[in-house]
Order: sequence, then C-alpha cells, then structure tokens
Amino acid sequence: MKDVARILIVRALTLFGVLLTVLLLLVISLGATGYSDRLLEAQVNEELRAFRISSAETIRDPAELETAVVARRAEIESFYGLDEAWWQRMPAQVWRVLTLDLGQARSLRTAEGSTAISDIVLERLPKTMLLLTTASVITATIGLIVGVRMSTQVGSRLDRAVAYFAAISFAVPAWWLGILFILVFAFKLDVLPAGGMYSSPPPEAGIDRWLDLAKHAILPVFTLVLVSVGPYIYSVRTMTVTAAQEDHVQLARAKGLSESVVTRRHILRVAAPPIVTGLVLGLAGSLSGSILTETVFNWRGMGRLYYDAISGTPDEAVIVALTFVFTLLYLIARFLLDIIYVVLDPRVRY
Amino acid sequence: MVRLALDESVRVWLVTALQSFPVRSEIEHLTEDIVSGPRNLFALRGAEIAGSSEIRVGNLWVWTERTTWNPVSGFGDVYSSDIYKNMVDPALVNHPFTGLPTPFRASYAVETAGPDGSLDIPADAVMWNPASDSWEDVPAGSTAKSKVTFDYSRYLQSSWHHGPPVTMADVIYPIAQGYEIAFDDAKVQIETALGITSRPLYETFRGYRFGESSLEVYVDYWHFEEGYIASYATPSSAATPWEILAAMDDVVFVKRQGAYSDTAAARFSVPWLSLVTESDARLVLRSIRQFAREGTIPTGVFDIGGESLVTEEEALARYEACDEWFDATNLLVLANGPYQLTRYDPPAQFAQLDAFRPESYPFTVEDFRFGTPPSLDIEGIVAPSVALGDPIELGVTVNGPGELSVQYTFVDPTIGAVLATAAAEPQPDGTFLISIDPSVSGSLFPGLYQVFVLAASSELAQVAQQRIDLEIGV
Repeated sequence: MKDVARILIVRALTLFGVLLTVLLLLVISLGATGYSDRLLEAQVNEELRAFRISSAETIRDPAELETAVVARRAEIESFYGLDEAWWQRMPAQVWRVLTLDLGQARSLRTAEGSTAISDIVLERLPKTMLLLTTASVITATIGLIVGVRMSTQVGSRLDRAVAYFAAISFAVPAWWLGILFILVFAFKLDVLPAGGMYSSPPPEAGIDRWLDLAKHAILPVFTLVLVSVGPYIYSVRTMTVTAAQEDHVQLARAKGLSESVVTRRHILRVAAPPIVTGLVLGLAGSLSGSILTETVFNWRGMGRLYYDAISGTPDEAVIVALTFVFTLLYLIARFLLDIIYVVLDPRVRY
Repeated sequence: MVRLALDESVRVWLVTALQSFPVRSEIEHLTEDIVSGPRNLFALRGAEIAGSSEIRVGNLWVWTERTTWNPVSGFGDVYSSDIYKNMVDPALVNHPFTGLPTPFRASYAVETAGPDGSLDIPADAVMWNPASDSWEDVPAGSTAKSKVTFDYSRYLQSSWHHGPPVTMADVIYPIAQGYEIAFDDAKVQIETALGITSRPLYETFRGYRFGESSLEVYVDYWHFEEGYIASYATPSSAATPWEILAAMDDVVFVKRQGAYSDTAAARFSVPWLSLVTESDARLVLRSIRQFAREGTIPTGVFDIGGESLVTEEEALARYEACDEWFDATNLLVLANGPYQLTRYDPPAQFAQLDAFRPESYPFTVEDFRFGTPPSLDIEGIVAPSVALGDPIELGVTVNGPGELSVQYTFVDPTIGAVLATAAAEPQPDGTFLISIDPSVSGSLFPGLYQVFVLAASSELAQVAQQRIDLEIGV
C-alpha cells in the first residue's frame, strides 16, 4: 500500500511537470513568437479604425481627432494588456491559473454579464457535456456491447458489415454529416430544429426549457455518435479479439460457463486496461468541446469558447485559462487511469 | 478633398459589398434604404403581414459577448442596434433614399452665419458648468457660427414605455451628463477615454436656450447642407428617461459598482453596465429605489431660470414606474419609440418587442412606410457619326424622381486623358443635351473615344451611368 501511495505521488508530480511544460510551451508559442501581440494589436487597430470613423462625424478638427484616437489607443492597449510586454503579463497569467484563479476575461462574458473566466467556463461546460459527453457515453455503450460481441464472431457477416460501417463512420467528417442531417431532418422532414439551443420563442423556464434544450441536442448528439461509434466498435473489437482467442477463454467455455460470464470475466477483464484508457480519455476530452460541431449546430459550448477566445475577439487570458483547464482535465484523467490500472491489474507497477 | 485623396493614394480599391436579406413574400411595406437595404430605422416599423400581429425576424445573433445595452457607451454591436432602433425615436433621421438628415421626432430651424461668419449668442443662453453643477450664463459677447432651434413638441406630447410623460427634463439631462463626463475631473478619471474623446465635440457648442418645448443650440459648425448642421447640433434625442441616466451615473460615479465603457469596466473590475442584464439592471434599480427613499432629484440639472423642471412628486412617480417595469420584465431598457422590449433571453438568442401605441404617440404606421427607392436610369444613347472638327452632340433622356441633372466626361481611352467635362444642358422637354465644342474633336486623331454620362437626382443618393463609344474621324 505504501508503495502504491509513493508511486502515485511520483506520478502526480510527473503530471504536474507536464502541466507546467504545457503552460511554458503556451507562453512561448503565444508570447515569444509575438503571435499574441500581433493578435491583440490587430484587434486594437480594428477597434481604432471603427472609432476613427465614428469620431470623425463629430470631431472635425484633424488634430483633435488624432488626439482622441491616441487617447483611445492608450485605453484599449491597456484594456488588452498591451501596455505590458508579453514576458511581463503572460507569466503572471500562468501563475494566477496555477493558483486556481482563472482570472477575468477581457472581451468574453457570460450571458449574465460576468467576466470571471470561471463563470464563463461554468456556463459553457454543462452545454458541452450535454452534447459531447452524452455522445461519448452513448458511443462507448454501443461500442462496448457491439465490439465485444464482434470479437467473439470474427469473420462473420456481422463482423464484416461492422468493419465497413466503421470505415465509413471514421471517414465522414462530423461537420459534413451535421450539415447533411440539418438538411434532411430540419429542412426536409421538419422533425428536429436546425440548430441553436432553444426554440423561438423559447420556453420561459423549468422542465419545458430543459426539454427544449434536449430536443435541440438530439441532432448534434446523433451526428457525433454516428461519426465516432464505428471506430469505437472496431477498436474495442480489436482490443478484445486477442483476449477472446486465448486458451483460458476456450477453457472457460469448455468448463461450461455461460457466454456472458466468459465475456465479462475472461475477455473484458483482460482487455479492460486499453478499453478503459480510451473511455476515460474520451470522456475527459469530451469536456473540451468540439469547435466544428458546435459551430455547425450553433451550440455555445467549450469548443466555441476556445475558438472565440482565439479568433473572434482575441482574449489572451481565456486562452491561457482554457489551456490550463483542458490540460488539467487530461492530467486528472491520466492520474485516474493510473489508479484504475493498479486496481484492474495488480501486476501493474511503475 | 477627393482629388487630394486620389493624388496621395498608392492604390484606390473600389469595393461593392453585396448582402442578401431574404424576406417572405407575404411581408408588405418594407422600407428599403438605398445603402443598407432593409437594415434601416423604418423597415420593421412599417412592415406588416396581413392578418397577423407578429413578425419574426432572424438575425445572426441577438446577444454576443460585446453586447451592452447602455445608452452612454454601449450598443457597439450591430445586433443590439438592430433591435434598439425600433424602440427609440431619434430627433433626426437620415432619409432612406437621399441619406440626408431629415426631421423626425423633432423639427428644426437652422440659422447660420456661414463658414467664416458669426452669430451673437443672447445673454440669457446658458452652458453647463461641471464644477458648480449648474447652468450658467454664457460669457458676454459670445458668438457661434450657427444656431439651430429644435422643437421637441412631438416628444413631449407622448409618454415613455413605462408610463410617465416625456418632459424637457429628459431632453436636458443627457446634455448636462455629456458635459459632466467630458469635463468633470473626477468623472474623467473614471471614464477617461469617454471623457477625452467627447471633449472636442462639446467644445464646439457655445450655448443653449431652453424653452417650454424648444431648445436653441449655438454651435461653431457650418455645413452647406442645413440638415447636417442640425444633425451635428442635436444635443439630445430624449432616448432614455432621465431617472435611468441619473441612476446609472450614481452606479458608475458614486457607488463605483459599474462602468459605462468596456475599458473602464476592465480597469476597475466592475461590470460594463447593460440594462438587459438582470444583475446590472438590479444595480441601477437599487439606485432608483434609493432615490425614491431619500427623495433625491439630481442636483442643479433641472434648475433653470430659478425654477426646477422636476417636482418631487413627479420624480417619485417615475421611480415607482421604473420599479414596476423591472418587476414585470426584469429589464430596464426604457425608450419612447413604437416598440418596447418585454423579453430578452441571451442563451436562447431571443428578444421580444411588443407594440407601444398610446393615442398620444405622434406617428402612424404610414409615416414609416417609404417603400423601395425609385429608379434612376438613362435611356439608351445613340452614338452619332462624328468627323474631325464636327461638334459632338448627344441627346440624353433620364427617368427618375425629383430634380435631375446630367454630367458628362469625354475621354481618350488610349491615354486615359479627360478631353472635356461639364454639365449637360437641360432642354425644355425635360431631356438633356451634351454639346462638345468642335475645336475639341478638331484636335483629335481619328479613332475610338468615350463619353461617360452620369445622371443624378435631388431625391436619390445614387447616380446612373452610361458609356458611349464614339468613332471620330473614322
């Protein structure tokens, strides 16, 4: 037990080192390359351009207009943090997130008007979970049931059919299938909404509002499941097929154990570590959202948040905070896996 | 200026931006702006679906992260403005066909001394003094280039969305507020960018005279088109009730719980006030309730000519009306136009505007219906056969509204030289005659030349163009 605790502590420290490394790489890629400065300066210039045009209607003296533009530039540069060099502002942001203070966004806000990044994340995360995590759970459930079944029927008609389906499912991009489904189910058949999160007008509150949200999630979830379930089934099948052909499985069957017991105890138990790895990392990854699917279905989740922070109105503080959150989620998932490996297979030691 | 700009340009890019606005065929009476199409003040005000009391409008967004509904330094996103413009009647509007500033809810009379002249400002004209928080007489001998007298009667005959009548106090408060933000040292420290950038505008205003329903504005500004002088001199559109502005000032400058601008909000870590955000609206409402408890009326702003424009009872009634409005809607966006905001749902990207049509409202739906811009076109011009040394004469027929005019430019396309340019002569039958002196064709080499004809109308901000290829001496 003491060994296990020591191992896990070392593992946690290693993963923390990974977190630091990711954040360091982020600072370098955003700051040292000048990318962040250029991004923010472009935003400042765009806002100043609009400001100059609107101010020119009321400030007729060019010298006074220039004075006003200079004053506005100073304000906006301070607003975006450009009054400090990247090596001054970015380490401070990294230190803040490491102390679990995600800080304040510059341009992004919640629907309630809060600029606290933690509020923004908490607003978007449930929406992404409804979409991505639901899809991941459905995919994993179908994948485990069908994949394990296939591993016991290698070469059968079902096996071949699912192999073809897996190839198609893997090849089809989610955004393309999403658009196709919108055309079919929303515009042709008119049975599901084309996008967005609520109807127009939306239900005021309560269960009706939740049901409305769920109705809007059907098409994107269906899309995500269809593009991910094929490869998932195939990978489960591949991971379990070797175990299914082991001698101890044949022995179990020869002993007259039921097929469900054989599957559960003698196949799945052996193949569990890689399957669990995929499942846990998939669930953790689902919390990061999907930029393309959320964009196609106009779903304001974590994927869109990351995209907005980078491209819409650049928000450096949000980029740093989200990178931290996503990395942390991944590392927590990895740490959980380390514990689960030990539980699943007592032989595992690091 | 155009010549100077062209001379100094490295390149000139001509851009034609095309936007599509699909509309269902059953929608009638949409006004189309000559530049922005249906994205204008009148489009939805006058639109109608026969037999229906509802119109659904799709926009890319209703709420974005930059959406801030505050009348002082908000409405920076087009999506909010698309909704808000249906709720507020401006004093002047740009005509959808000519683009010229035109009287709308206020009417005006302009008197100007020209670009270099000056008008005397009467001794009883006043200016707001942010240091003493009072209206003070302008210095003796003050002058201004122009004077605009606004008549606010059509504002004052009706009421705000929450019930109280629009008064001159609503016209005056935003004027004083503007000076406060621009020149009050303590406030400039808070809303720095807003203050500094609005100063140059306020410095050109020389004085005000308040009447019962009128306002004289003295301003150092001239434009050859009087509508632009009036547009520049418009100090207030009474767009928001004074009690809301006063409460917002209290939140921003006294309690320091919110900010008008995004930059100040970030600097002081307070919300960028938005009256459609419930938590922000509650901050403003808290100040209104405090005003009601303490019987507060903004100091000095309404004291003109030794009298106050606002009584305590009137102020109290307004505070209570705001309270009731918030209870009903959870919003504090109050205005004076034909639609009122009754629901705003950012997660669902949904806003609902209900009709606001008290009997005292000065406009009918017909006042909002301009239809589509009339067309302006030049009928096909027949190119004559021209010999070297002949006069070049072209008859031009233009179809369009208002007073028409035609301009032509005779060009040698091989070297890009302009050989002649002038206005075409109007003829008694309404057509125009382009007449180019024989000496011009006499100096040419035989070949292909071009005449560019431009037609313009006084009632349309658009020109029609036609090019005629002339073979001369061939």
